[in-house]
Amino acid sequence: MPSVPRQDDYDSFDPSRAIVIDNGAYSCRVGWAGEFEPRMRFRNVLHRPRLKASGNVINIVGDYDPALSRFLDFTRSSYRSAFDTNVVYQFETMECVFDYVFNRLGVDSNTIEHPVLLTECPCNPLYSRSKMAELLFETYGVPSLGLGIDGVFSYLHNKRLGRCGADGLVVCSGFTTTHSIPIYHGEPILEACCRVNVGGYHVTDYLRRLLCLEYPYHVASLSWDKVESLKFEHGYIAEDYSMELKLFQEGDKLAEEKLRYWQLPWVPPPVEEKPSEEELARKAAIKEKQSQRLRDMAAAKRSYKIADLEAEIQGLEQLLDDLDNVEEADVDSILTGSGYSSRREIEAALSKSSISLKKAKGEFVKIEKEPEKELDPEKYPLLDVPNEMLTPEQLKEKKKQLFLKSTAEGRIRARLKRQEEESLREQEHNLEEDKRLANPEQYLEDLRARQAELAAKIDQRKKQKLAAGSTGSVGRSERLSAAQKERMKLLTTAAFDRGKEDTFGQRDEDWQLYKKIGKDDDDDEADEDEMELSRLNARLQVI
Amino acid sequence: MSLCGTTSGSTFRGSKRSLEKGSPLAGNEVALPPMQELEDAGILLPASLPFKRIQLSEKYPKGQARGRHWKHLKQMLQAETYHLYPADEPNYMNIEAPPSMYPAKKYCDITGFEAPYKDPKTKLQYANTDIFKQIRALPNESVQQYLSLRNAQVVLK
Repeated sequence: MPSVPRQDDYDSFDPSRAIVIDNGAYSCRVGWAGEFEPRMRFRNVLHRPRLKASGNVINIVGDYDPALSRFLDFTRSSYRSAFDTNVVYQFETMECVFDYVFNRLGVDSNTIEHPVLLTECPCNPLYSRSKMAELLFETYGVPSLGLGIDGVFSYLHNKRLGRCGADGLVVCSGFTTTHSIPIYHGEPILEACCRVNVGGYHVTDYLRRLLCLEYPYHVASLSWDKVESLKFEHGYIAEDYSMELKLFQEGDKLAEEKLRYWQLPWVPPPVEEKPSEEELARKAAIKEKQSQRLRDMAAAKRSYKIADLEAEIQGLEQLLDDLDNVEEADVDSILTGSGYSSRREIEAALSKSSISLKKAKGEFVKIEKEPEKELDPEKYPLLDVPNEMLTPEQLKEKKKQLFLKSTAEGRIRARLKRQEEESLREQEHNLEEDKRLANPEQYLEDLRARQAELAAKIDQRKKQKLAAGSTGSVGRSERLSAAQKERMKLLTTAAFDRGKEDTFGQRDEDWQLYKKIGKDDDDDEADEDEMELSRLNARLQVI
Repeated sequence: MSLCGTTSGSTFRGSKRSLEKGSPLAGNEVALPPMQELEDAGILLPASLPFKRIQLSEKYPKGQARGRHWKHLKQMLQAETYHLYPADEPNYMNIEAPPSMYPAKKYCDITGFEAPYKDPKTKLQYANTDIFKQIRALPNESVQQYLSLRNAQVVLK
């Protein structure tokens, strides 16, 4: 909508000429009575942006050049309208709009000498009408005010032009409402007037919802204003809606002519340029340089490490030499000076360092498994000494040695057990083999019998499980196996014993309870059976 | 839309001021303070208008609570005491058209064409078999969105 610069012919009008303000919910049109076109028309809204420079709020009525929005901060408030549906209710906003109207119209004098003709909706509530009159009379001091219905004015104008007769029907579709007003003998019959709360706003909103649903990726670009401009640009009123629909459904030539293609403003994505040969080479060079630097760093680190290890080894060898050469009495002092507690330790450290040196140099090191260390009493010298003869520090040391010894012993025991089990299994196997060789048929029969027995057992267990699962109505106790029942019983007794004095754990037998509870032999048994069965099956197959 | 500055053919940047100064920055956006440019655009109104008896700033002084309560349409109508007037006197309330007595016309929810059919599963109306296939392929979410276009969506309360 083009906005008009400030009019400069205000003074040329006779005071009897009325100022006409068509105060619509969507747009406001202002002009002089008797002229064919309004002097200005603008969106009947007020923007209250902040100036980015000073932070002051300013009033902007109507539309503004989008280029100016770089100075303005619109984030705090959206635009506001003086209208609720089609009735003016916000008279502060209305006053801003009237300020703009009279200022643009070129009023420079101290008073407005012209009568004002203002449009309003049919059957405007009295409260709104009185507030409007109050505003125009008291604030602007207009000499007189006329109020009327825009649709009726339009009818009268068209009647004068001979387009319609004395009787007719006005259908006036506005921004939020549509009225139908019958005219009889040139007079509107308000008793028969009808309002439907549907207007251009709803059309735009519906179009926007349709478009958003159809193109969910463009919801952000389908702003209200954009859709509205689309509607104004491409929308038309069908004279016969169903005929028009058929036209499009059949898709003939006429429909194709009416079809509109519209493209959203397209922002080209940043084009990724293919890197040139030069650039690729440069990048490769940089990469090579970086990896070279990393390699250098690694090499330097390695050489440092090797040097360190060599020095350490040398030192240790020196130490050993010293130990060889000195008297027995001086050994202790040398040892304390070096930080090692025994010759053995030094040797161990030496071998360790030499291995790491070899590793660092990249030589292949065969890591020998440490020979089985038998428990040598030498390693735990403090254990045999009675406690009374030791200092607290040595006591601590003794404890540590005790711990080490017990773990070492445990390891050995476990190994022995493993070996024993293995030999037992071997024996069993041999026995079976003997049996088989002695009487193959008998053996086979035995095997089969056992297999059948096991299979039956497993089957039965499975059935039991299934039956328990399927009979949902049976109580919990029926669903549990004997072992589980036992466990529940123990748990409940334990729970009820709570009230008594808690002596649990004082006797060793108490702890047996956990074994009883924890025992879930049912499943274990099943597992064992299954394993045995699979073993037998395998064996049978082999034979 | 355009404003006074643009309709006269000159752009905001090349306004007379900066040209008079002969500043090397003439034509540059930085040359003009924003206020000047806004004034040139003609969208700013002077703080006090001579034809007004009471200025806006006097009526609504700065710093005081802006949120002055204006009666909304609903409150206005409640205060109007329409029930005291004779029933045949037209007023804002009773000129509103009653809901239509005619059955709603059925249009295809997808294409907008006349819809002779309705999918019993999704309750969407459709024009032909191709659209029926399309409807059945739709996820429930978009079905509800289509239904909500004609206020027929399932509302869970």
